[in-house]
Order: sequence, then C-alpha cells, then structure tokens
Amino acid sequence: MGETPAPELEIEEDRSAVLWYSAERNAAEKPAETAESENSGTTISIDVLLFGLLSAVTTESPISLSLPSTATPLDVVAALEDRFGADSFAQIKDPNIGILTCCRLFVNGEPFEDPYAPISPDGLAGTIEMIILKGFEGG
Amino acid sequence: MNEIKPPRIVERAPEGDEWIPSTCNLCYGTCSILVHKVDGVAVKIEGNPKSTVGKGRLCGKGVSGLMTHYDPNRVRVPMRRTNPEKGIGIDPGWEEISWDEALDEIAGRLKKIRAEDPRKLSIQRTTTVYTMGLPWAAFAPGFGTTNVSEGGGGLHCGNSAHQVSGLLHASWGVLPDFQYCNYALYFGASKGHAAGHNSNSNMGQAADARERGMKMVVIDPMCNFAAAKANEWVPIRVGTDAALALAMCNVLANELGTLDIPYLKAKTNGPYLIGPDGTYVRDIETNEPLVWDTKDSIAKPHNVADSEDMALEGEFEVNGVTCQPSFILLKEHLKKYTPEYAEEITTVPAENIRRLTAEFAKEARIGSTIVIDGVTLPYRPAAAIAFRGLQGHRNATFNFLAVLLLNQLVGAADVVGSCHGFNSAFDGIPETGRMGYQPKAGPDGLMEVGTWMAYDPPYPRPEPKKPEEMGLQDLFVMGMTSPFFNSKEGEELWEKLDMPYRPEMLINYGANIMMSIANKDLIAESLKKLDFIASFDLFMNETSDFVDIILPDRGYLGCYNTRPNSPYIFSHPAGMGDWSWAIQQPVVEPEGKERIFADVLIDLAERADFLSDMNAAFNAVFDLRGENRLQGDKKYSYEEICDADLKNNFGDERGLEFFKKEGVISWPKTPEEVYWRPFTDARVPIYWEWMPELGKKIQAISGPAGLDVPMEYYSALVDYLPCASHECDHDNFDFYTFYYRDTLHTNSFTMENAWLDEAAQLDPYSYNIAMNTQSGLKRGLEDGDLIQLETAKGRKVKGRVHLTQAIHPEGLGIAALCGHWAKGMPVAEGKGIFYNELLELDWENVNPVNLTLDLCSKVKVSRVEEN
Ligand code: SF4
Repeated sequence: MGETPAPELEIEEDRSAVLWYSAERNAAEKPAETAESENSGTTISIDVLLFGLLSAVTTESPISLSLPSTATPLDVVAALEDRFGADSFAQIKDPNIGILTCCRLFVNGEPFEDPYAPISPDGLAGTIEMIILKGFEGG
Repeated sequence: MNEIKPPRIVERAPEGDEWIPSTCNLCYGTCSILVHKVDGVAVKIEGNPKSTVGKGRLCGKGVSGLMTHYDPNRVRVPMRRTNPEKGIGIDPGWEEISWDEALDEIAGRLKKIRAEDPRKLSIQRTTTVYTMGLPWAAFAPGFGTTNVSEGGGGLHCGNSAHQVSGLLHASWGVLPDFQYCNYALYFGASKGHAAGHNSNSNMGQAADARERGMKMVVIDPMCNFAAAKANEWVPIRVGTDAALALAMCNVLANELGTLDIPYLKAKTNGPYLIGPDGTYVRDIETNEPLVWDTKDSIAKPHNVADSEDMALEGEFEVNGVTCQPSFILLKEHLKKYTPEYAEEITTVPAENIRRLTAEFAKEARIGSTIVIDGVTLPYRPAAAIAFRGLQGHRNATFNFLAVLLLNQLVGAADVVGSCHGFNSAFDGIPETGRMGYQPKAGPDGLMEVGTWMAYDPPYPRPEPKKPEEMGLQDLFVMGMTSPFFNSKEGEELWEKLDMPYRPEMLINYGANIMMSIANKDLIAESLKKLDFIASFDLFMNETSDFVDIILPDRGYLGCYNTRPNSPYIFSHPAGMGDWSWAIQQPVVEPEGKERIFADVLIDLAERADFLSDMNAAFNAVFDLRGENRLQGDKKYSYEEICDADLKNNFGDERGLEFFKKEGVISWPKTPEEVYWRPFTDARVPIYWEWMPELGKKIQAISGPAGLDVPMEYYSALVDYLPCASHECDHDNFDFYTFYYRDTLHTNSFTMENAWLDEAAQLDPYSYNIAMNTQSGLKRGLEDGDLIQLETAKGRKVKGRVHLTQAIHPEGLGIAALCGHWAKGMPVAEGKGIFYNELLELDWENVNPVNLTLDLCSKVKVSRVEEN
C-alpha cells in the first residue's frame, strides 16, 4: 500500500514547487452549493432565431417560446425538439458537452457559452440566436 | 544581435511616393509589411519594424510578392468553361463572361442546393492565404454547410501537432522560449529556421538564442534548414521519432529519475487513480476522478485534495478496486522503450540516446526559479519541440505526444526557457479588454484551450456519432481535417454509413486541390463526380481543368483583413515582447476585372437569399456587439464590416480609417500572459484515459462500414507504432521518401513567381531529390542523374538526384510541391518533383485517431536512361 519515495532532486532546494502548488486562476470547479433562483416558478418569453443549417428546421422566425424562468439553452433546444421533431437538433446536442461548441449562442446580442446556465437569470424576456460555425485553419 | 533598421515611413514623402502598411499573405507567417508605391505602382515590399509579427523582416517569398501581383499570366476576368468534358490536360475551352453572368449562375445553383440540403455544398480553401478565412467563416455557416476543408494544406499540416499542442499547451503548436532556453531538442521541426508560424520573428529570436549559447539538437532525416544551424544533427529513420522520444522519456523516468514531481502532481493527471479497467476511479458523489491523499491516507476528488499531498506512485484500495496513479502506469509502460530497442527502430545509437537525455535533464534545472519583470517563475531552460515532419505519419498523434511528454516529465511547459505553447493566454486589448482568453480547467480538471483555430476545441470531446459530415469528423471526433473529402473509399463509405446527402458543388478558394492532397488520378476522379465547381484563383492551375467558372481574385495585396494575426496562438512569436495588431489592406489597384472576394461572397449571399444568415454569421464570427452588429438582411460592403470589427474591439476612434493609416499598434506582454502555466489551475493528460472507450465507440459505428479501428492507436498510454512504409518488405524497396517545406516556396503556389523560381534553380535541393551520397554511389548513381521512384502500388515520379551527406542513408528528401503541368503557370511548369503523386488517400494511410495523412512512402529507385 505504500508510496515509492520520490526521486531526489539534483539541486538542494526545490524553489519552484510552491509556484506549481499555488495556482489560483481558472481553478477546477469545487463542489458548489445549489441555490434556488429567486424567479423559479415563473415563466419567460424567449424568441429564438435560427440561422444557417439550423434554419432548415422551420421557416418560422422568430420562434416564440414560453419557458420557465430558469430555462437554459438546453431547455430551449428541448422545447424546439418538442415542436419540430425529436431529431431536429441532434447535430448540435452532445451528451458530454451539452451543446457542441461549434453551435454559437447569443442571448440578447451577447455571446452565451454555458448550455447548462439559465438564459435569463433576471427573469426577463429575451432573444436567443443560434448558428453553427464550422471551419478550420491548417498550418 | 539582430537589430532592425528604423521604419521607412517618412513624415513627408515626395508627391506620388508612399509606404502603405499591410500584411504578407504568402504563407501563414502573416508578417507585417510596408509596400512602397511610386506613382501608383508598387515597387518594393519591406517588413514593418513597428510590428512584432516579422519584426521588420521578410523572407524571400515576402519580398517577391510583387512578381505574383504583376505576373502577366494572372487570371483577371471571370471565365466559364465551354467544354463539358473534364479531365487532366483536357482544354476547358474558357470564355470570358461578365461578373453578373458568373454570379447569377453560381447563385442559382446555390439557391437550389440550399433548398435541398445546404451540406451538398463543400468549400475548400488554401492555407496559402489562410488569413482570408474570415469571410468564408461567415459564408459557409450562413449558407448552412458544415463541409469546409483546407485543401491539401489541412491534410498536410500539423493536424496532430495542433491537437496535441492544444491538449498539453492550449496552443496550436509549440516553440522553445528562445529568449531563455539553453537546450532545444527539435524533432522534425524547423521553427525559427524556415517557413511557417511567425517564421521571420522566430528566425530572429532563434539566431539570437544560438548566439547567446542555446544548444540546439535537431533530430531529422535531413540536415536542412534547422539542422544546418544546429550544434548537433541526429539523423533518424523516417517516421520513427516516437520510438526515440519514448526511449528518452524512459531514461528520464527510470534511469536518471530526473522528474519534476511537484509539476507532475499539480499540473498533470499523473495522480489520478486508475482502476483495473484502465479508467479513472471516480468519487461516488461528484463523479470527479480520485487521487490518493498521502497526508490523510484516503482517496479524495482531485479538486478537493491539495496537489502537494497527491500520490504519484503506489497501489491503493478504493471503492472496492485496486488502483494506481496514472503516473506509475506510464512510468512502467515506458520501461519497454529501452535505448537499445529504440536504436533498432530509429538507427540512433543507444549511447547517443542516453547522452542527449542526460543533457536535456541537466539543462532543465528542475526546481529552479527566475524573476522576470518582478514576477518569480519556474525556470526550465530546456525544450523538446516537434512539428509537421514528425507528425506526417500514420502514428501522428502519438509521435507528437511522445515528444511533448519529455517536457511534461521535467516541468518544462510554458515557463521561462521551456517548451511553449505560443500565446496560450492573452489578457485582451488594453483599452477595451476585448478578445482576451485564458486556458482553464474543464471536465475532470483537464485543461481547455482559451482560444482555438476551429470551433470545436480539442477538449472536451464530443461523442462520436453516425457521420453527417463529408469528412466524417463527427465520427472521428479527434480529427480536424479529413481525407474523406476526396478519398478512394468516399462514396462507398458514405453509402454504408447512410450519409443523408452527397456533395454536388464545390467552391474553391485558391487551393490547387489536384496537386496539394495526394496522387492526381484519385483527386481527378473525386472532382469529376461534382456537378459544379466555382473557383477563386490567381492562375489557371492544374485544378482549373475541372472548374466550371473561374473568378479572378485580387490576391493578398488587394484585400482587407482586420485580423491577419489573430488568434495569437497561431501567428505571434512566443516569449516576452509585444502584442501587435496589424491589418491587411489593398495596396494596389485592381487589374482587369478583379474584385475583392469577400464582396463577391456577400453578393452571392444576396442573390441566393441568405444575406441575413451571413450577417448573423459575421456577428458570431467577429463577436460583434451593440451598434456594431450587422442588422437583418441589410447589405454591407466588406470594408464596412471590417470597420465594425475594429471599432467593436478598439473603440469608435480606432476603426478601419485609423488602422489604414497606422497599419499596426503594439503593447507589451506581461509575464503572467507569457508564462501562464503556474498561474492556471488546470491539468494536462499524460495518461489519455478516454482513448480506449472512444476507440470502441467509433469502431461500433465505423466497423460495420468497413473501417476497422486498430485499437493500439486508441491506447491510454503513448506508443511507437510503425507506418505502412515500415512494413513494406518488397525486394529493392529500400528508401523512405518524405517531403519538406522549402523556405523558398509555399505549398504548390509560389513556383510561378519568377524571382523565387530563379532562386530555387540556384538551390541544389529545391527542384531535385536529395539522396545520401554513399547510398547513391552504392547503387551506381551520380549527382544529377535522372531517377525514378516507384511505390509498391506502382505510383511513380521522376527527378534528378542530388547526392549529399546531409540526409539519412535510407531517406529521399523532396522539397515543396513542385512539378506543375498546367499551361497557365508557365514559370512553374515542369520544374521540380510532384511528390504527392506517391501518396495514397485511404484508410490504410491515415492516422485512425485524427485522420492525419501519412506522407511517407517506401520506394524502389531506378536510373532513367537518357538519350
Ligand atoms: S514568412 Fe510568410 S508571411 Fe512572412 S514574409 Fe515570408 S511568405 Fe510572407
């Protein structure tokens, strides 16, 4: 059960160890307490604008949804799938990532990264734009 | 030292005499330039010393850009083929047409395809003018196709280099920290000595480093650009670098025991406990990987235990299973890579392997620190780097990982003097804070990149699924570029995998697909299957034989680009110094009927009714906010969009007009940006836990379609695996071929440039086949003989042999992608060797992990009798 001792260093004192151990920036998430949102229980209006390949799903634009105020982008996608068919957004959904990074989301004109975060923490109506970006640079 | 002369911009130039700042685009080095114009004629191009990109230097190609611009063979008007028959050397019967005719025909086809399935459109581009990618990045998603490829550049580029550099350094590639590095090991790379990323900035930095005393050891089959300037050249058998690098890792870990234990504990997944099934042992409540806490003698989630207390070795009982830290599994695994084993594979003597490792270990100075600009940082002045040469093989992923592992073992990663991801962290534009990015911890505490050159970063990975992308990258989820756009198996595979559509139309931007991917017959077949091809081009090249409408491009001296050097992980030099933001702007008037291609794309979007989608895509690509966002289906010129992008990032005062005049602005980097690793609490994988499971999932989909995934490529622990060429044992097939990027040429494009052609003719290597002198003499060959190379599949090329001591006895080195046959490129026609003719484009010759193409082959050599 024991640990093999660490190899000896050739210099007398390891001065960099403390620097490796002291990182603070962008730390891995510590387990967090979950808090009830002030707005839970109410609903909000969300207008969805689909562009590019996603716009093939429907000619309706914007698509108006009424969702719980805690709705996340994944909830929006689920609501769209309810309306337009179960597989209509399969190409952007992923069990590991939620919504693939190549599908860019903008809420009220601002980029929105986290598919699991509430779109409207203040409980106000909003517009969500979705577009798949693809491309690659070689070198 | 390499001092740069002061800028040539003068306060009051004589009438009709001006220096205009812009950006070179003749490779992805994207050096900042000044173009001297007299009476409206561009007469000279120099480097712009105000910019950190190039630092006032230009390479031979950059200086020669004028010859491409004024080449009388340039395409200057839109043209349509009149001969429906397509084939190599078959005259398309070009006729001039108006822009309206050209755009109407293309837009009509786009409209039809978009209504059916927009993915039937594929787009291929070249890396030669890579910074022109932004309008395409809006056009393709606005239209709705996900099938975008980078011509040959993508397949022949650093596909694995980018992926593994992304996973381990949050960057697109790696470099030594030239300013402080004392010992640089180069594996199949020429960084700082030839073409490519930040090449001119790096050349200055590398020269200064060598003058300062940095020892440079270059491991390469050929002693060319980097090795010729190194302290030591280590000739190696083509494609075997991983065996050497892993033997060196073994010597470090198991013979010398020179390891940066605190680094391994704090910055890698080395402490994560691995169960008997090879996967992480996870916390039952949080599902986070567990580590063994030596202080409390219990297992804790990695984000709860202190790194200092994490075990790297030992065996523990956790959750009812016996487990070990991944580090000890790696350490044990490395034991099979003895220097003696590696000598057999690589031909590098075992004693040299031990000596080089000991030198590297000593120079890494584990445990030391240094103060830079008042900030105390780890000091590791040793770096092992690699690039395209080493990874252009079937074992691409592991080849690259094996080299980068050397740095991980001694903590020489993104700290002073070490191996650097270049510019993985950026605090943003000072006045607005815009565009900043930082690597951060993602799922399982492993590092996510801060920014990336594609929209799907290397980590976390999506789940593989039944593919709907032509290149199958949604199945091979670690892949970026793909051979399946043009492969032998293409149609058959798409059929078996139930692809819901087939490609019908191609828009090409400057890629000479016929030459830049693999052998021409195979590519010709794939192009012939398409209903329609439109191509923006400068010359009638080999691909033009298959094109329906050719559109004249203005070239890099006639276009706008607001972000030629962004993101910085691609285009900025490593180390302390400045950030620079340059633009590219038209410096010459259009000739003939040339138009800025970005405006042509906007016209096409309007005519094909997807302008609002393209505007939305521009908003997303540029992240335009507030009043800078493009509205609905309003039509903007690309100049207006460029203005919006600059104002969005730099504020209203610094739009396009400001940058047209200034050309470039700069501000200093901070030590926390450059040496970001100690400040960032994210780990990198030295044990790729996810791989075996990923391999199985892909196999479950690809296997029934006939692509059996060799599971050894999906191992959690890095290995040396041979190329098909290593397994070829036909009689007399005794040379390994490889090609390398010539400093005089970019891809297959610059051979038409008269100045570069003249220089290349003076160079004994550019247009010839390099062979070891003794190997040649043994076969009765003399310098200058015409020889033929033939692969086991019967693919042949001819060229003149140049006998030299500067190549491994089993290697045949060929420069660039020459051997043009198109009549529209008369300067280039018939010069040099068309290397890609030797290459297959099939499953047997790609890396099964990320679809990198194997670029080596085994050939038999024969002399061609001349009358
Ligand atoms: S390195 Fe590339 S970008 Fe720079 S001058 Fe040379 S060709 Fe132009």
